Parts: sequence; structure tokens; C-alpha cells
Amino acid sequence: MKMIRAIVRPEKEDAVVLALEGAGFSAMTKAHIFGRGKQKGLTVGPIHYDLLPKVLLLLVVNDEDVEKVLSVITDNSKTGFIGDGKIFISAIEKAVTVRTGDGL
Amino acid sequence: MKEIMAVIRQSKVKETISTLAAAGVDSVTVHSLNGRGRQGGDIMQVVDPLMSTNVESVSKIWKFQTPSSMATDSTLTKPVFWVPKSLLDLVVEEVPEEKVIDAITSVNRSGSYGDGKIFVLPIEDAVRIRTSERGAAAIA
Repeated sequence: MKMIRAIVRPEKEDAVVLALEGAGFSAMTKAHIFGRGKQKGLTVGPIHYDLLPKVLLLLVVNDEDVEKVLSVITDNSKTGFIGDGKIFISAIEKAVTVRTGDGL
Repeated sequence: MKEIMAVIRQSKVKETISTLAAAGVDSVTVHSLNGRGRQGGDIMQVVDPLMSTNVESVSKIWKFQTPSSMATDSTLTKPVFWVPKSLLDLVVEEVPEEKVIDAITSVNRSGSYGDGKIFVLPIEDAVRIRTSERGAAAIA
């Protein structure tokens, strides 16, 4: 099992979530967060925005579904400009459903 | 060293934290966020008026009927596609993970959907910023 943490643009959140639901991955957690990348934020004229609003999507999927989820997220959140976000994947040793005590 | 992430109901956070403290885990980080499971949300009779409604666009997917999307025609109930949840984040070294999982499930298991999930992740290293201690000493 893998945990996928995707940081996407807030305006792309609906598109990504709809596409994930359409692909059969309806279970996820989201958080509204602030972050910045290598460019250290955004400067528009004299105004500097140090941290930009982003949406963090958190999914746990089986190993064989990882590539599919990655392509769904990238296809729907890509604009080609700086700030499209990052996707991080980490290993999950164990998952427990509180209601039943079983796995996912 | 293990990281344990538990997505639970917001109303159970206080009780969970006190139960974890009794089990020997004192340090915890709490995030407030929105989540949903395989049911695609929830159908609520009473909905928090402050809850955002712009998330209903998710109902545009009709080919995957979820309890929530089937209720969009009903005026008696309101589908909620994102349920407010809390994420407890703890890193444990001495206390066995099974003990932590048992403590969380004992408080949070109500038997209905939405009780939450617990994930266990490996942690490679930890640093206490105040003293620069590494590894197990950092979280002891």
C-alpha cells in the first residue's frame, strides 16, 4: 500500500477530485494549505507573495494502482506553468479501518 | 520508529487524546481537514450552515452512484461530499504500534461508516530542534 500526497492548485481541485472519483478512487482526505517552491513564492510588481494557497490531497491506494492515480492527478492538474504542484509517494506498512479492524 | 496517522471524527478527538495519554503516548499533532471514504461522503439530516456548499460539483459524476449522489434529488436530506475530520499524527518508538491502534479503535469504533482509518508509516529519523538530538532520543 502507498500513501499519495498530492499538492495541487486550488482551482484544479474539483477537476482532480472528479477525475479520481470517476477512476474509482473516491476515498481521500483534503486539506487547504500554504506552500512555496523553488521560486520562493511569487512576485507581482512590488508585491511579494511568500506562501501560495494550495490543496493537499491524501490518498492511500494499493501498489498496483499508484501509476494510474498519478496519471489521473497529473492529467487533470497540469497547466504547464510553475506552481502546478508536487506528488509525494510513501510506503504504508499497515492500514486499519476503525469500524471493522480490518485493512482498507 | 513509526508514524501513526489516524483520520477520526472531530467529536472524538479529546477522548482519543486522553486515552492515548493513558497508553503512554503524550505527543500528538492534530490537523483539521475534510475527508471522505468509499461512500463518497454522507447524507446528513442536519447540516452545519457554515459548511461550504460549493463542493457539490462532485455530484456531476453520475455513473458512479454513491449514497450522496443519489440523495441530490431529495429535499429532505442534504448530501455532503466532504465530511469534516481530524487527523492525529503521532510518532512512536517505545510504545508498540498495536497498543496505539487498540487505544484509537477502542474510542472511535461506533460501528457505522465514517469511523476513520489508521495508517502506519516507517520513519527513518527524527530531530529535536531544541537540542539537536537524533533518533529515538528526539521523541523520548
